[in-house]
Amino acid sequence: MSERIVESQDNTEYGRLLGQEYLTFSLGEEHYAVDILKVQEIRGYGAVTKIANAPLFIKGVINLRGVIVPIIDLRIKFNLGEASYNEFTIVIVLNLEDRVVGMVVDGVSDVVSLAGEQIKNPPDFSANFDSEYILGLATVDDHMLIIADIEKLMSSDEMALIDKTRTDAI
Amino acid sequence: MSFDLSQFNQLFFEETAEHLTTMESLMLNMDVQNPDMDDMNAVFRAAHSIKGNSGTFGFNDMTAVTHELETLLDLVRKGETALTDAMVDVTLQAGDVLGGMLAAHQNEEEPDTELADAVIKELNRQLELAQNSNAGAVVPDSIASRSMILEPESNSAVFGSPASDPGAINSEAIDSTALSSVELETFAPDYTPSETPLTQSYIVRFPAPGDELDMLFDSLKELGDLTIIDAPSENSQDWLFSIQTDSSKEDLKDLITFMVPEESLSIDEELSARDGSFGFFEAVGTESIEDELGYGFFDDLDNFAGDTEESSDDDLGYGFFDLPEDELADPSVECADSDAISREALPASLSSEMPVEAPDLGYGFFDDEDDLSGPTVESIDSIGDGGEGVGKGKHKEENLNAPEGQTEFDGYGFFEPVKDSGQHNNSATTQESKSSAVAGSAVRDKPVNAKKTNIRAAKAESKALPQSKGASPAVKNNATESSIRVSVEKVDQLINQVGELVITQAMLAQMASEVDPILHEKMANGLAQLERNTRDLQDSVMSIRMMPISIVFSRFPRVVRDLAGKLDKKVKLEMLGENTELDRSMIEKLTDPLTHLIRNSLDHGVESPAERIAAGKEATGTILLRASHQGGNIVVEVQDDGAGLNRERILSKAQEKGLPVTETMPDADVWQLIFAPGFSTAAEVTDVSGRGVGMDVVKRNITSLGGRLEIESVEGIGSRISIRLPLTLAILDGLQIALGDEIYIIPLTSIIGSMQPDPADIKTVSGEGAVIFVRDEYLPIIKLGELLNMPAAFDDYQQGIMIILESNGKRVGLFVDDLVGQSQVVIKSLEANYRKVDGVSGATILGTGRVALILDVSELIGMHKKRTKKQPNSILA
Repeated sequence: MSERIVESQDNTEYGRLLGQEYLTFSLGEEHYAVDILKVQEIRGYGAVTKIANAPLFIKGVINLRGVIVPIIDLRIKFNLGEASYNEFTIVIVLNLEDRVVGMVVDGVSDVVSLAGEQIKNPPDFSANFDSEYILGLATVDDHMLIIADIEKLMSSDEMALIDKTRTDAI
Repeated sequence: MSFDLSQFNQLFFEETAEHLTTMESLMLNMDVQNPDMDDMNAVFRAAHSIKGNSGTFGFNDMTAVTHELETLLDLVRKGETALTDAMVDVTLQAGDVLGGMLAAHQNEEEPDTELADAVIKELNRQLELAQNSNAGAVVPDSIASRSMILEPESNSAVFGSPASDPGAINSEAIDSTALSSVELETFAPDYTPSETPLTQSYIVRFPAPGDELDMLFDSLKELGDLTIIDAPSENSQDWLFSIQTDSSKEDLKDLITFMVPEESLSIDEELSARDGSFGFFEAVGTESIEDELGYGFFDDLDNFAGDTEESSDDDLGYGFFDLPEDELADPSVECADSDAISREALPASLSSEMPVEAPDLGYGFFDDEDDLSGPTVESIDSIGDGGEGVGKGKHKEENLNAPEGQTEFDGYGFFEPVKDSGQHNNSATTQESKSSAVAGSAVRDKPVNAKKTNIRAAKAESKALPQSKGASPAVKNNATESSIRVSVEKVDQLINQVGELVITQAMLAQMASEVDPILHEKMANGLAQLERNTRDLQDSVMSIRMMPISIVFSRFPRVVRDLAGKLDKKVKLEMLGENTELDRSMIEKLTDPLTHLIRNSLDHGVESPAERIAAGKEATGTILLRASHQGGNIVVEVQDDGAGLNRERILSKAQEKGLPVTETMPDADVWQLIFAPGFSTAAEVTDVSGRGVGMDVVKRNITSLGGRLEIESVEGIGSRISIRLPLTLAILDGLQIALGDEIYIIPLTSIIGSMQPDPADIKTVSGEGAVIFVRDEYLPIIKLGELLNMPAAFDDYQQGIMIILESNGKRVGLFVDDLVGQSQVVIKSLEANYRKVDGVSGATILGTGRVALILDVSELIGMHKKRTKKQPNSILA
């Protein structure tokens, strides 16, 4: 796990000192952080078109300036907080490799800079949020920040975002 | 006058490619037993054009191949030999080789000379075969041609035809090559290529001199393409070969006389058909007269000075008697003993020339009639002058043709002909024809050539009217304007942006509909105009990328023909829906998988004629290639009436390969096994298929296009493989329907009609599945809300709307909440950021900015079927 942290850091001394910037958001009582370079934009929730026979946490798709973007509610997926939708509901639009995905969170808190040594390896535990998708844990302002490997999470089978048959067609 | 011909190369490539395609498709459709002569002529013309063009542009390797091809075709065309399958094959093969050379030249690579040599050899072999069947006729004819002057007369008229006329062509070619290639090149890209190869073929004959021959042949090969027609044997002690070269005859002679006694050597310009039409005139230098009377017709100008009077008379043949008969009287009078025959013959040959020549005007790059009409007049005028010059001899020549050095230009300018013909005339008059017969025939030949030159000049003029070089860039511009090459990314970008524009426009329209139209009338008008303009723009932009699938299909007749021949099977290929348009990028990516599927059908599907007859089928198998739009998809099917897939064999093979299979697998799953990598049930590996590489690649290619492969197969009846491709970019005419809060789009093409159902028409079957009675049919009802697990506003049939849909010949009633309206929508891929959704072919963005899903009717029907199957009580399937 520690290897992965090193990997995700800037290799330069400069980058090491400065650390990496993370966008932090809340889901229920928990605080999460994602690499800010993966975040395309933050927008309000609305005008979602439901998709037939999709899992509950996939709210549907929206039109993001002509691009059809699926919206996932992490609160439903991880059973955190209450999945209510109003004008304050926030969507973080992520740009992961060549895909754009929106995720509904309870709120966006801050952008923090974390150096490599501030990030600790997560203990092995079983939780809704599988430790497989956690890069590490950090403490900022007495909060525990869960640094999520959002790319891995979103491309995982359980998110059902990607057509398996498409990616590994025989 | 130096002139860079390479700027026209692109035109050459394009045109030659066109000619090759024409040739191939005509040849493929040719009925070998009873070939259509019009088609045959067209094939010949295509070959001839390629030959002329490639010669002009200096692609001599291509000229060499086409020359042989042309010779062969000419025989067939004239009915002197019957068309055989082998000839069709070799023609196609030559076409391929030429295509390869063309591509190589285009990429500035070295073409594969081995292939070319092989195909030339094969062409020669066919030619020999063809000639052997006519050999009897050859000899007497060629001898007769000398003594019977009237005989060649008719020939010359016939040969005057543009495409066919080897005699006239050669005679011109002598002129143009010997006189000047520069002037020729200047106009070469403009007029039709058909008449003027830069190189000239000579037939050379001499008795076998001994051992130095290898050396001689080697040096001859350096001059050009050497084809040995006849080696010494019991029948003849002579070497007879043809050489195609741009060297002059004089050079050739020098070279050969180095080894061979001059007296016994004969060099003649070659008639393209070596078939008995050799020689109109005996025109060779004195040295050959004794032994080779039968050959040769014109001498070229280089020999002019040193040669006999006859040859100078022959040269008269290049004069410009494009004049009414009365004007012609002059020269014919001056041509001393030319007898009345020449004058009588003239109108005949002129008139016979005219109609034949005329169609040829249609060739070349710039064949606008508009272009042609004006200049034609001018050039005729100028040639009229030329004729006058001929008539009056030297005086006119001096007046009209002051500049030095133009002597060499023959027929391609306004004034050059004058000088030229004047010169010929001069020699003719001063030297006085010794032989009236020869002179007469020379004169008779004039109109043919003159006419030809005239038209050619007209063509040349129509393109590069001013004789300055300034005309050439203009010509080029015209050509390049007709098509431009743009990278696909740029087009994609454009299409996306226009898509955005359409959506924005729709949003504006939506907003405008909320304001008072009376107060904001101008804005409403403006928006209406914007809507029109954006629609037009969208249509135009979309059409850039859409191409008919016939582009892919057109290659398959050839594939099937070749392969069927190789496999000794009889197969007929039928194609349907060739005009189905799909995205260009898809067309390109579709070619390989389709080719593979067709090869597969041919190899594994269609049985041998014997097996077919044993199975009670027609000996000729059928492969059907069909493209269609179905429910927002493009479906391309490859269907054969062959043996079908063998379930047991596939299953046992799969077990062998360790694939997870069971005996009870449904057929559809079994068939899918053939897409597994390395899977082949072929008993033995052939060079066609059987290595098990391919079907997996097909599958990968198709899935990478977002498509699916479906196989249907019945043993003994045949199989059908359908490629179902999404319309990643296309506009869809769709009907918007409402279901709960959502709007869905149904492609209009699948909609038969809609109705408010009468409860009396709705029946249930065993209390479960419902059917509706419409137009004398019971149709299963699909409740869209239930199928998609979406809340619907109405469950009661009376409140909602029943839409009758059809897909793959199956009809269903789709129950929805409401109809919203009809609109054109831009299809957006749902898969780009999400995944394939069952029953949905894509998404679009409505005027409100919301996303609406586009329903895939055939999938909906499939989903409904599965659902009802799972319910054990239902008998509806």
